Amino acid sequence: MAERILRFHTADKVFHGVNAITWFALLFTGAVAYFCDLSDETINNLMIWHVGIAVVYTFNLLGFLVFAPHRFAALLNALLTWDMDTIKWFRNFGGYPRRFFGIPFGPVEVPPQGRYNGGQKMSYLIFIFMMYALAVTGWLLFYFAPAIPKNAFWWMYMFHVWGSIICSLMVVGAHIPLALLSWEHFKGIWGLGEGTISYEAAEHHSPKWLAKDVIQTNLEKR
Amino acid sequence: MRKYEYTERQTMAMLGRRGFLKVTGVTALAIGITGYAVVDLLQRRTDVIKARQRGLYKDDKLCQEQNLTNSHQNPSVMRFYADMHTEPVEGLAHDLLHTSYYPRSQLAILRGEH
Amino acid sequence: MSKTILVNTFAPPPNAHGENGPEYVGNLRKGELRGIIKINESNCVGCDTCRKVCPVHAISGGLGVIHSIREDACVACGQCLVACPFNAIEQMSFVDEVMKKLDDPNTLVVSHPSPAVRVSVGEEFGAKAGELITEQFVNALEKAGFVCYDVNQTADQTIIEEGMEFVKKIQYWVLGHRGPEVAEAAEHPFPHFTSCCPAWVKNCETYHAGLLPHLSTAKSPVQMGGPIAKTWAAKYVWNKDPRDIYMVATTPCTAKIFEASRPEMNDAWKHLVKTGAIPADTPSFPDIDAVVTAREIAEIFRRKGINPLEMPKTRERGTMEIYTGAGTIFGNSGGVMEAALRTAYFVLSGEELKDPDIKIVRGHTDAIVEATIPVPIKELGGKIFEVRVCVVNGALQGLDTVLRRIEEDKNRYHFIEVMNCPGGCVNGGGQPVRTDSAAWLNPTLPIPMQI
Repeated sequence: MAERILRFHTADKVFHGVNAITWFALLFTGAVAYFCDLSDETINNLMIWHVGIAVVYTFNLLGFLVFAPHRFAALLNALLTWDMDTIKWFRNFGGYPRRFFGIPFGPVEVPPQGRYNGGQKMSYLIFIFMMYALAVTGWLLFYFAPAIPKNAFWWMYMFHVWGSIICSLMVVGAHIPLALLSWEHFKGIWGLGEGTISYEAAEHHSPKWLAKDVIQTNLEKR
Repeated sequence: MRKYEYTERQTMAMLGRRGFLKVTGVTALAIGITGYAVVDLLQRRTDVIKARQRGLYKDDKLCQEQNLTNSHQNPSVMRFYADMHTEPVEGLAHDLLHTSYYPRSQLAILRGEH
Repeated sequence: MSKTILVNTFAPPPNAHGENGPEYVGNLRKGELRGIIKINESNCVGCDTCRKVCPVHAISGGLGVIHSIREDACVACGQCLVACPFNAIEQMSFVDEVMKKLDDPNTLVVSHPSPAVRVSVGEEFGAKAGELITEQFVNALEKAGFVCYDVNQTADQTIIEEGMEFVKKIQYWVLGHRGPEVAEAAEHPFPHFTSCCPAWVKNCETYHAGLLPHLSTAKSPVQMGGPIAKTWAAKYVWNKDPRDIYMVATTPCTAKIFEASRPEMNDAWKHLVKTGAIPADTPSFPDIDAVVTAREIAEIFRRKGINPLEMPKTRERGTMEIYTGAGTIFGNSGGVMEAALRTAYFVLSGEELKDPDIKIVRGHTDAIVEATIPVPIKELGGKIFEVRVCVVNGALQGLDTVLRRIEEDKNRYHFIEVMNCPGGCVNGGGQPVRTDSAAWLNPTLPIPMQI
């Protein structure tokens, strides 16, 4: 069957893409300004870019909520709905330790998963929290600095700097490599055109989603 | 462009009432808690300043109870003028208790540099 | 549990007074202390908070960059030090010098504590914010070896001096008096500005020198205390040679450190030489010999094992400790205004205010306060004259607006009180630094954006 399923709507792709690009631009500008010993002018310029890009980043977050609430709702609902199969995913971490590192951790079988597997649900909830919290702390630190008591400022600053780094490590160390494992999903979310994946990819990755939430469309094949 | 044969159900159909309440509830809670925390933090920022100010107004009240409300009622201050034989702003009081200022952009002129 | 944090200090480096240099360097005259507030580069992360709270924009460095203070621009107010979330800003300290003097049996070491210190010094030892501990504090000072001369008393003195100065301005400019008694007032038109805040004075001298004739010629209370101590109190109260009196201003303020070093502040010496009370070849000595902040007096207590909160709560107030309510409220924004009005009202109308609490001039946490005080003028048969006053509560948020108002309308105010620090001296750069406080006042928004 060369059939395709629409998994990623336009709003999903735009939000995810802009988010990913601005996230790494913010990480780069922030981390280089924070850690590298460069001239004052360069560091200040990096921070000016950091704040400018943060505007785009923040509007992107708000835009997803305001202009695509149904996609936001579908995403959040899926992430917050956990069943036994979701929890059982953690017994062998989706089989990845065995698959990549030969570590015989847990049973061989991975229980059937929904649209997002257990690991995705947990890490995406963390990512969404971090995206939100970094935006909030970032604007408070930049704009409200004179009005924020010192203790609160210090904690927000440490959260902003180290939270963003730890989260980025999760993204680079887990999210991206695992995303590359399924070329269909990767093309679906990043490619130009409709965000579709093959029927087989859905059968493999998210059979319960396929069974419960995926329906046939009435669209004719050209 | 090739269309797709399958798609996800409509969001409201997938969520149902439970899902809708769950999502709106969590989002409202997150925004609400953040909003409350930030507003509370900002509102309480000057509490220390206000507490210290209140401390001094309390001291004012304690002095007023001793009939020491206004500066011209201070006996030690009045003694200074009596003992030193001077009046406010005049003569000795002027020499000891008044001063002059220096426009800092004109220090060169004031120091006689031409 | 104490919510205060320890602030780093450094000893005065060589040439701190510019003593080895020319008559002036940049904006600083020889004798004036420079570099009182310094940013420690190894602790600064460039968060930019200090630059955003500096009332004179004296800090260089954009977001992300290590910041530095420009000495010529700085008024030494210490708001940056209080606001820094990383404790990266440090203050010049004279504690070691004072400790040595306390050990000298021949010297009468006098602590001259400001109003705001009595409601904050307890915080360094775990008291609640703003807890009033005057008696315990003075008892602790005595135990440490100080004699106490309360600035609240000199604040009363300042009101008499500045109050009379203001009354004479009213007499000349409003009531039309002429003659030698009001001749000085002819040189000083309205609006009349207070001059007890040394950060405001240096701000005015540097950035608004055209306003200097409007500044009260009265010294600040602390700087009046120096000459009074070394002339009147030395002779009539302590019976001590003025040269053996060591005045230690104990302030909520770091700008006072600068003020005490101003070369003209040696009027006691000038007077004593002129009247022959001391030999003509006596080297000049300043009116105030050293300044320690509220934080530093706490440090002196700690070094001597004294906890003011454990001292007795009662005390018989000596001659040099008597003060009125008007004197003590100097530490609050609007306090100088209220105190001056209490006395000016009495002098102009011949009667006391029915309610001495002039709540409409109190700054609280509002950046600018405007008020009109109706005063019945005795010599006009009780005709009401409306005194228009303004309180600038923190130079950062309020000063520019008010100065622009008076440039547009010279008659808008008769009397303007300017406090550099938001809230007044209670929130000065020398007060205990707290982790749970910020000094940005109302209106909260907008906060000027800087990057």
